[in-house]
Amino acid sequence: MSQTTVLGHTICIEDINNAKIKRILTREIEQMNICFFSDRHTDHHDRYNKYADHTDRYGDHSDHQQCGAGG
Amino acid sequence: MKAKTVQCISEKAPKKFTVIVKPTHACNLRCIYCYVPGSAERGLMSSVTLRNVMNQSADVGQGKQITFIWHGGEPLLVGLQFFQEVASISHLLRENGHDIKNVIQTNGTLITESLLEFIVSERDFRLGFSIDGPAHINDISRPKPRGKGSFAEIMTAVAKIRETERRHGTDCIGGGAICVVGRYNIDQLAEIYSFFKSNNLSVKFNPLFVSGRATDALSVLPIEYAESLCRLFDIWVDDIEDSIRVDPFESIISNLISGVSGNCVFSLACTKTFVSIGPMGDIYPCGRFDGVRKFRLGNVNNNQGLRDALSSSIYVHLDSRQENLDSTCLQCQFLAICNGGCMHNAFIKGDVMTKDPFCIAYKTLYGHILSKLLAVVKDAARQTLTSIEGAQA
Repeated sequence: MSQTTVLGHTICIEDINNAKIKRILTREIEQMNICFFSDRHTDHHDRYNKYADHTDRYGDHSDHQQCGAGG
Repeated sequence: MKAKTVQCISEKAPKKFTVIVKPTHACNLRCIYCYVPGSAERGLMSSVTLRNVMNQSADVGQGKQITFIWHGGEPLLVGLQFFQEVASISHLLRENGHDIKNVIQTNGTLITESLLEFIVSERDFRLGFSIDGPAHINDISRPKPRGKGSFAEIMTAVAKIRETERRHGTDCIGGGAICVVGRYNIDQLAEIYSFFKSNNLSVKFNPLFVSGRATDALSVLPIEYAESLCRLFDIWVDDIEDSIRVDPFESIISNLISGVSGNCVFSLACTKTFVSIGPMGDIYPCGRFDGVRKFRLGNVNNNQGLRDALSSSIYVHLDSRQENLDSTCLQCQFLAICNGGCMHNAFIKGDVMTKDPFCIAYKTLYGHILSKLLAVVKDAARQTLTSIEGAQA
């Protein structure tokens, strides 16, 4: 079993006892979105300048609220 | 056990550019909250405009994954032939190296077997629906012109989709549903959730926004919306059945875990990833602004229409919103996953540059979901630690 850190806590995914949260967490790990950006909490404007048109999820706003089929 | 350091490799993921296309604003339903304003363009999109829409989008979105969301009005009113032309242009664009996806967001009443066979054969089309719950709820908010409800026809379409998917051994058609939360159904969300679950339809609960026929009387207060969704979250998250995707819950959990948002409403820069184009080719920053003339960015039938639109002074002004966020947003613990919320929601209450009036709803919902998430993660951490200690003993 491998460990990962989620919201500051080291866990094995297998130890998550809620099926939905376990599924979503697993998906995020598979998509490598558990990626503690070193500048995650830094200045908002700096974040905008770096990521607004970047390729990571900062620029991946593909899920539109008015589309039921998802992004 | 081996500790795993997860690296962010999302720079390998494709950039995305989403074009919300409205081939018509006409509709065969008379939803009580229809947001299309009276000033929206009339008529059906022509072949010339369609080609300009798709080719210019490919040009502007060069190197990105381009998703066309065929929206409306009711997009299926333009007929299957229109979407066959969409498919034909999509093929040509792919041959030229573009990454193209198509989604049709429909009220579901005009779905035919021919359309479903076409979608199966094309593979890159998906369907999304609009349903507000079981018949006695949906038919209040989504009637036909003479008052008859649309529910029976939508569910007939859902059955056709399931049958077509079964016949072809695929699940490629879709689709999830949007349920608009307003005064008429806010007290019945648990029943609505059960309905979607029993019909195996994923659902996205969106708050009604005041525009077009949608009046203040139909809308709910942001805090009402949040408290109702918190109650629904509690039902959903501990429901051992896990057959459908329910949003905004899943996306909020993802956002809280990853620390970034993947939803347009909470986008760091929706202007860079979304654009909307109407039946006559008018360009707006988002489908929600469609018909609000002061936000018209240009027209695809004018020279380099889309490229020019994305450098227009209105566009540049909207794009500067993140640099001028409200000071309370800049101090908020949820800033990285909210980014000041939706500029159209802000516009409805006065000014695109202000924060989203649903702020209190977002904070309440985020806080509620984060509490549950933390409780589950802490339980897991204790279990993991116990296992490690047991292994070492």
